[in-house]
Amino acid sequence: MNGLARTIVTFSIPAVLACIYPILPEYAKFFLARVMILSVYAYGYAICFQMLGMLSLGHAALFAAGMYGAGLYTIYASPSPLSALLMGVAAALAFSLAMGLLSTRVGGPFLTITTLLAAQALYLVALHFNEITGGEQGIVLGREATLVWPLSPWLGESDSRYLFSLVTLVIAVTGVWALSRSRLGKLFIAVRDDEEKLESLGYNTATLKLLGFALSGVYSGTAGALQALLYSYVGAGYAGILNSVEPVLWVLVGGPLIQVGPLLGCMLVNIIADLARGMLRGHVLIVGLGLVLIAFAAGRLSWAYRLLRRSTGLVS
Amino acid sequence: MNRRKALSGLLKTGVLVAGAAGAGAVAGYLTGSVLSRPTEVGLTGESKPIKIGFQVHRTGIGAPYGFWYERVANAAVEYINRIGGIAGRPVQLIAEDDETSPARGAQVVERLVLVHNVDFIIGALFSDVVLSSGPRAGELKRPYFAVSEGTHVPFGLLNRWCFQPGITDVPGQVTAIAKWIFENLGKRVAIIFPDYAFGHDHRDALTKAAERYGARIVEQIPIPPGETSFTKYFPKIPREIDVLYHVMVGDVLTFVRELGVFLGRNRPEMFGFIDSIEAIPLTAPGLEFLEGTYFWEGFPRYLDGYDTPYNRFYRDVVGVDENGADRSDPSRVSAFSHMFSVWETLFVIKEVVEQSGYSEPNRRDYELFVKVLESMDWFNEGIWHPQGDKMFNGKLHQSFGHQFVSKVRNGRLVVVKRTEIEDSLYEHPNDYTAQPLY
Amino acid sequence: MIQLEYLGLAILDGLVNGFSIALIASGLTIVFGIINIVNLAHGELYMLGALVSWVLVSAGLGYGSALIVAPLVVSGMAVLLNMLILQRFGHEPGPTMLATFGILLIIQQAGLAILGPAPRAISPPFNPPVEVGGFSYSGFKLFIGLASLATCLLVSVIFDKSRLGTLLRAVQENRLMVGSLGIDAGRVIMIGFALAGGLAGLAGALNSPVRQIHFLMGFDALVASFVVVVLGGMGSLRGTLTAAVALGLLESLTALFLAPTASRVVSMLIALSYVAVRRLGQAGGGSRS
Repeated sequence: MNGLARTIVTFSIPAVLACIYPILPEYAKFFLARVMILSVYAYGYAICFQMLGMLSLGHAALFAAGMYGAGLYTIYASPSPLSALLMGVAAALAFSLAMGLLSTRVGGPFLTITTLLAAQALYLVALHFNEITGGEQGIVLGREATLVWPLSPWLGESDSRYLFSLVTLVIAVTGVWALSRSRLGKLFIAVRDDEEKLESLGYNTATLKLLGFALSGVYSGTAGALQALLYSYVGAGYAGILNSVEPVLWVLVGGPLIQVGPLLGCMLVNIIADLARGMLRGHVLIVGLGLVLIAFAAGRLSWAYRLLRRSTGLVS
Repeated sequence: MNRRKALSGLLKTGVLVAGAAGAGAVAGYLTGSVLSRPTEVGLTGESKPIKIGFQVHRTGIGAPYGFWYERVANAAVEYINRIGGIAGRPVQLIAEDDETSPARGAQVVERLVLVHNVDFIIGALFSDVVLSSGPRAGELKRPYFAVSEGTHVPFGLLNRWCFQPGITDVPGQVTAIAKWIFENLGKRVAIIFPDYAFGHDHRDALTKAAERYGARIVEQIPIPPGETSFTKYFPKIPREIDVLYHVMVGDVLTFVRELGVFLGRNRPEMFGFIDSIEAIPLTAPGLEFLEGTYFWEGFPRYLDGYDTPYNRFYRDVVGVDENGADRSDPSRVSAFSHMFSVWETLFVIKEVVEQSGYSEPNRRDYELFVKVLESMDWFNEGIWHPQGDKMFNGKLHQSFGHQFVSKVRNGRLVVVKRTEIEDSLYEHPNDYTAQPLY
Repeated sequence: MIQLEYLGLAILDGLVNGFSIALIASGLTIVFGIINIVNLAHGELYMLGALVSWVLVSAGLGYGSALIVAPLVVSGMAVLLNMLILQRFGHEPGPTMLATFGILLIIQQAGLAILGPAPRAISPPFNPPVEVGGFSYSGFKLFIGLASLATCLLVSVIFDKSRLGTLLRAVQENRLMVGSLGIDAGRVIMIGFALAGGLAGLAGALNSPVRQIHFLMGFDALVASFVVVVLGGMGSLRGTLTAAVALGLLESLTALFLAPTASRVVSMLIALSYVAVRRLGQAGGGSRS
């Protein structure tokens, strides 16, 4: 019963997104398609932060690794979008393994700082080799390199993007749903809640953490690669620190249920920002006020407290 | 601990939250288009307005430019409406903030086209925003007018829907003034520039010009974006140079002041792009050392640098005094060398709409519009083009115009040279007209 | 390209930058120490310090007044933020982080409204060029470095020696126990915020005559301070100072030898390897702290 209810909750938002699709105005389709891809990133971040209790501030690098893997492959090797997507995911996996090997071992606040520094390093490397990467200004990918190009004879731009993003989102949600039910997912949570006990039971927690970090990297990198292949642009701005802070906000706003929280938080924050942009001059101010209000609303939730206390490694 | 109860409680919350969010998302989006009230300037006349979307750097690193761009756009639209609008229709300007961010910029293009159904978009200044927005505009089939000086428009990085008629590009600017630099200041040059497209355009164009005129770029010093402390890079400036060529954006004031302290009295000749001090008064503390150095100006900050009736009129309408500062607050200096681009772009749109008979955002009308715009080859100096006449290259979608060299004398900029349009021309194989429009 | 004649300049500039980052970061350290939360709005408090200085100097009140008033105003601001917002949810990390990010955006936009979008500048009250080994350095920057260093040392002495320091450290170590001893932890936290705000305000006022006063100046300062706070061992004032100086020197020395952007990459990587060596070198390595 509980399992069933949980499953229903998990897939309710994707189901709503599928149902409202025919009545959505054109802009909403574009907007939600964007947010769905970002939600995949949010889920990736949640695996690392919410399941394993690791507060990373360097996930922008994993997002960007996927983006550059896909984008650079498209430009310098072949404009085939599907192999570019695979390259992007592979690049993100490789980068997350390298980054995870160091940062999951140093742990606690040092995980936060090493991920931050590694991400800054990747950002600066992208700038330094700007003859290849396009640096801060970025590179525009050709039309034929985008994932929607093959679909466009049958579907319009907005429809193909929306449906493609929705399918991706469903796959991502299913993955997280399966993970949370699996033994591995329970072990992840156990690492977060009581690492020592798990170790004493004979589990290799270092490998578990690395595995979680890499999985998180695959999700984030997929989102990055899709961002490049759906919107024809690759740029170092996506490796910047702000893109690492955003998923923290989404996950915190989204609430304790990992199957829906990241999607919910990502949608909520982006919708507030987008509505504010349309309504008022000072929309950044509105977003700031919105975050403070959400903080008040979430003030009674102790889950975030436990999570952050563990991930910062300092217990009072 | 009753685990089951806790879980079902959790689930209840989850269902509630998920349901609320779903409903919220729908409601948000259905009301979104209703609630959206962007800043609008325009007439509320009888005939249907022409909507011009404006992607503006209100916040983020581009804000010093964005503030003035928006002011110019509002003034120009007000003036256009006063003289009868475009093709007899009032103009409505719909401005939205792109936070000087490529991700947001692309979103703003979608909003302008899909929420507001604008007829045309006036785009951004910063290269990353232009590069991420251009493809979106091309895909949504809406003319996008960059005002960025970047090479991405003329060099073919974008698509047939992207134009830059309102301002000259960096290679054009540098080509025009490089000869003057090498002849008057010296042939051994070090260049210090921001480490991204805008800076590289400067580096590349200057290097090319140096080859042509037998000058030598002795050292290139790229500064990483977001840097806030510069002294550590200055030791790379060689001592045996004639000219230090500098251009900076971002933390410009710290850059120029630290440079002044480092160079002290024994500085080489200096030639800067006004970007290093755009929107900053020359009287700002620490800028005294710029006395006697040279700057490129797109449009001279001080009226006497290029005193024409059109320039006076333009300053009047925009509210800028003869020193290039805000009429109501003389400490607020304008981005005078760049912001005319918005004004002139709006009048290019007016001219092309009126010539082509464009009326609706549909395929037939856009085909007419683009065809007429691409066949333009000259914009005459006048109220519509106060910076000067311009040659337009329909294949490159780019304008070429006059440039100014000014010297800092007694804390003001004094024009010493106005280049000819021919000086700024260069060859490039790009041809947008070969691309299909639809 | 190696220019050894500039070694002196690189060291001097690295030290000065290190000291001024240390001053900004010390407030972040203090708040982190007592509530275990990175106050994301801390950089904006630094910006406010510079903003207040600009307002005062523009009003003709002289730079000296800024050095006194800016720390007081910003300190009051920090106390208000704590009282009106952060305290309301008992400094729980999740909401506190969200709220401080929201406050960051709000203060930044307020800065934009007051300063305008263009950078502002004020004159240093004195700025004799100091000749060091054949090049000139800003005398006022030297003053900033020394004043920052002195303040950091003073604060760290207060922490070690005074009753206030003992209380702050006690709250840092065990808030519950402090409560049971009859000490009002809330008040101690308030004092911590006041101190942190004052330090940020002072840093803003000190740096305002040599930097561009701009609404975005806070965020870069936040990132730089966060890095040194963690490298310095979270919540340790002296660790923060050491880390800031080390990082400042590292950045300016690598810049002598490498291309600018590459030098930034290398200094990041060196900082990374430092953490790796230090943490993984410890027996067991793991994250149990």
